Amino acid sequence: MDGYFSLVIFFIAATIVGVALLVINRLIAPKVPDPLQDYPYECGVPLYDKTAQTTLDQKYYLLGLLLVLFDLEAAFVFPWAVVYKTFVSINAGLIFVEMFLFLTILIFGFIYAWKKGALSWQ
Amino acid sequence: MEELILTSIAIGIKSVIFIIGMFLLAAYLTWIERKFAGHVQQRPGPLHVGWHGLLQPIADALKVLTKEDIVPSGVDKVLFYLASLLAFVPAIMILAVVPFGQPVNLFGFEIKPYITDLNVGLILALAFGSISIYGVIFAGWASNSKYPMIGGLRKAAVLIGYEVALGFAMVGPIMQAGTFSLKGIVEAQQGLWFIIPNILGFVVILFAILAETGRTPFDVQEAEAELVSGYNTEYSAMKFGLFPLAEWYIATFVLSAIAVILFFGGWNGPHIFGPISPFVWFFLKLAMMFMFFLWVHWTLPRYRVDQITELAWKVMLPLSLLNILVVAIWIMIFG
Repeated sequence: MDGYFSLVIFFIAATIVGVALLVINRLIAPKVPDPLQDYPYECGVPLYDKTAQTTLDQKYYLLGLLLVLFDLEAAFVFPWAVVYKTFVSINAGLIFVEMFLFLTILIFGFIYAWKKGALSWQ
Repeated sequence: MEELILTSIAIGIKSVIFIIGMFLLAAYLTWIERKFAGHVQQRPGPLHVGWHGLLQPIADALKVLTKEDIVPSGVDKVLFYLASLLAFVPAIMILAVVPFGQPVNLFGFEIKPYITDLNVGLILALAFGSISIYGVIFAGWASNSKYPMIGGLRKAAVLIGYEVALGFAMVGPIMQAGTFSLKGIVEAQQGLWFIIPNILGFVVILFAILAETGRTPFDVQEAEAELVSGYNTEYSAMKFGLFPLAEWYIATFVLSAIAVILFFGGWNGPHIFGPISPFVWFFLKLAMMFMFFLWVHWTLPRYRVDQITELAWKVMLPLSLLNILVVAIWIMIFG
């Protein structure tokens, strides 16, 4: 528990330093209001779209789904990796085959996604 | 209860020392980077503020602190401020699990050159690396302007691709050390460094760090020629200052430290500098790693965003899986 306690204290300290920097900036910086300074950046011409918070065509929806799949896979591989070295002297074949069967099945899925074109920027 | 308060104060002081130290270091890393970039491009770099521009970082810091804090109309104010904090805090949180050396005895006190040594250290580092993606997306969305929006989404696309490869590339050293604790991983490398069977994993991690920290071959979120300045176009003053500070300096520094710990034996090295030799070795390796990223940044042109995401999924992910296979066989043969 001691280690996590230090982590929490470090987090609080980091947040305080970050907030302090923003607050100090706010306090000591001069304020010279100008009608055009709060205008969003737009190459010097009047704003064409009033808002940018609309739907944008971004092309990685399928990649986002694959991220979920492979991050879950990583959650299975990490615990295996920690015990691999101690277990390999007891029963090398079992632990090796076990994980690589799992990985092979996932790699088939990966190849399927690749062939279907899910990995390309479409 | 009293003991708890005393420990909290002690840890708090130590945390503040680490954070302030990281700030000063990051300030001078900007000087190193600008000097390096200058000489790469055959110009002198910072020259006039102090001897060879040595006071330039202080002048820049004061300038950023005293600039007017402009909030453009139409932005989501809460997310706008939260984004710069969310970029900065996770980047510096990784520092909490990075050990800079073994505990040393000084005047009867045991001084630990790290904040905490957890048995899940590496997973925490990965997790904080993933959280910083929110800062980028929030900044892009809250700005309510086209260029930040596109920049933020592009950066998210790149980050999710390299996140997976980065995670799998770290499996090799974990298998050899049998622990997630970064201190444990260094102690497991007393003999041979983990670079030897993990060469593929190391290549993947180099690419992933370049992509995560947005350095040049992968800096599609900035892409000055297309997106003005990417997701921080609408930012000014200290809100802006936290982004490059976190991304280019703090994140590059701590991720270089993690790469050195995973593959180059951390602070292991011949004891030729007396009692401080672990620190000397660690910072020498760290400096070489950091300079490598600067070298790549100021030499290569930029890829297109589709090339980068496809590289992550089609080359880096298979390479990192292959690395797991190579290391598994290596451990079976050599133990």
